[in-house]
Amino acid sequence: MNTQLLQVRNLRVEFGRHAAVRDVSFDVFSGETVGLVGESGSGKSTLARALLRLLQPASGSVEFSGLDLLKSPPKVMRAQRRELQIVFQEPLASLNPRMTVGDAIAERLLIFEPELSPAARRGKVAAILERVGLSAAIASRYPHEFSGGQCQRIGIARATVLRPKLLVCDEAVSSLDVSIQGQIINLLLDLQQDMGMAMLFISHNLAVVRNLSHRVLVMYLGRLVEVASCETLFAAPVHPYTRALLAAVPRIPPVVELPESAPLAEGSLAASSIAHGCAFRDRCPYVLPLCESSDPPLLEIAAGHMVACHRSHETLNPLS
Amino acid sequence: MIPTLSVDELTVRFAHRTGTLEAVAGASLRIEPGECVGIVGESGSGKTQLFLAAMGLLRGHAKVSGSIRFAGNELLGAKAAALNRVRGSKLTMIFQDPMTSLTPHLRIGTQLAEVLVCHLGVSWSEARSAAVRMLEHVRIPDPKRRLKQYPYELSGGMRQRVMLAMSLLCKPDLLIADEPTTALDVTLQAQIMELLRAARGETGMALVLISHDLGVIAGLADRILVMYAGRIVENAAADELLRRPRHPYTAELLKCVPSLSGPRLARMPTLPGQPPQPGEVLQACPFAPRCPRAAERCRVEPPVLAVAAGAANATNAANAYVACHFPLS
Repeated sequence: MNTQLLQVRNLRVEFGRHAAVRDVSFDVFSGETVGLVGESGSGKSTLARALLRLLQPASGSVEFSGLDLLKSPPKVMRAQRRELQIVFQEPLASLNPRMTVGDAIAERLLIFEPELSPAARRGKVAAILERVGLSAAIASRYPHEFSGGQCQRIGIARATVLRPKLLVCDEAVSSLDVSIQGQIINLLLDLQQDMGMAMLFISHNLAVVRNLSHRVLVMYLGRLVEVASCETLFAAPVHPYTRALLAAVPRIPPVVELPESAPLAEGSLAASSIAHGCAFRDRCPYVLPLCESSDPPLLEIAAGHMVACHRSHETLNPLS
Repeated sequence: MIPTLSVDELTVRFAHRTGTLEAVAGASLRIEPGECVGIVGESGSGKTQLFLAAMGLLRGHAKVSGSIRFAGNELLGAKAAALNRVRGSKLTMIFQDPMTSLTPHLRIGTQLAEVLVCHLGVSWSEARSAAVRMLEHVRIPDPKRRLKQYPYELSGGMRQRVMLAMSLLCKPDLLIADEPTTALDVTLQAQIMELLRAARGETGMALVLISHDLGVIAGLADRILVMYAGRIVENAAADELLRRPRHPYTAELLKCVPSLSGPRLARMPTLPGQPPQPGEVLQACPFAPRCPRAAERCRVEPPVLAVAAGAANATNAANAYVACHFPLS
């Protein structure tokens, strides 16, 4: 778990004049699960796609197993893709409706292990289908015949048949019912143990992230605002955004007195004013004049705990 | 007191390639004035269909039988004109996706004012100023400017607030909110929940909150109904149901909800199997194949929703009902 697998430095992704990901740096170690949380529009998915070079970042570097992916020629990049796989949110939409389940999985093997005999390929497809809790007999069926949970298992089978080193799960359980969600998360955890793969687990569901991540990254309007171990982040969050996010999660039984009950205002910061100053300033209850003019850098406040806030050294009282 | 909504033996059937599909199978429930009832269930459990039927929105699509009375008046089989007198004014509904609920080519102001013009017969200018006040009420900044905007110009959270404003304009007796926050971020969800809570307090309306998220329901509901495979399997006061679930499905569902407190888990608790798929042949108790307590009786004799043991002496409002041969005690 100590070898560095992925090293992202100063990554920036632009859509026209709008920067969706700004100055993002983090590491993923092999075998580790890193949670990535944030609201819609915070740039989580854009970041994931940029890591896999499904989008071309404007600047920065993504080093994977010692190789700079952004500077790699297409041939080298393609070879890396077997180590770097992604599972998407919409399980049905990410499968080709006109391809059988077996063919969808075998396609990966055809590309990356062309030397396999057809029988060996079928054997591998059957093995991975059974590994993800499906029957090998479904290989000849089509995606529309399956429920959301089953389609997600197929998506996971397809992403893991090559035993990747890093699996990016982009809201992989978000569209599933809670009784199915647990099954899929446990499947991912089992596969991780078997294959020793690292996971970047993107989700807006904080409770899910808390239960399976080693470390958590919190993203707000394209920037990382807090990075900490899972224990620290959920027990002692520092950034006002992280705190507000945690306070907004409904609990069972309902918590009558939340530590921070003031609901967060809807963000209204114009895209043009994000460029200077803290992007969270218009929603932040602790805002200072300094926050208008200077964007706080992501600084380490304790071992492994990084926060981008001008007031991260202060003890901020809960709001009344 | 006449219940605001009373549903008896409601069945909703659709034609399906595998034969007839029963989305709601003999559901009965009562909603008292001012009460907030949460409806929990997984996708396909029939929670939305039940209330679409109540709104008369399934005509021509489904066979609906049973009885649905709103303030004592039968809605099922009522003429469209009679339905339209209550729908949108005294009985309103908001949906998960606020973008597809608003008309894309009409300005927000027109859509809001129209409700008052149609139902209360006020003038357009009067209706517009009432619309501005209502937008202010749901905390939409700069409401006068918003009236001139089209739905696509608003964010998701803003649109849901417009929908909420629209549903509150005629001071409804019952608002049905179907997954009102599912498409929203948790911070926006908290705001919408707060608005719903405030609206209830001010108008005294009854509220049905349909959600797959027990956390959302726990924060607002007085009473919770749990649905599985088109049936109501448990109906109890919210505290009681969350603290002492009686149906094994409710208990398992509660266990599956990942928590933000307590020890972190190495594995997630799960419910084995999956909910019945359309066209699947059900056992007498549809939950039996996934149930840890299932026995032979569950496969042959359908359980009926009845007062749970130990709850018979409670006051009527606190009564707990469960449809299970072997409920947890």
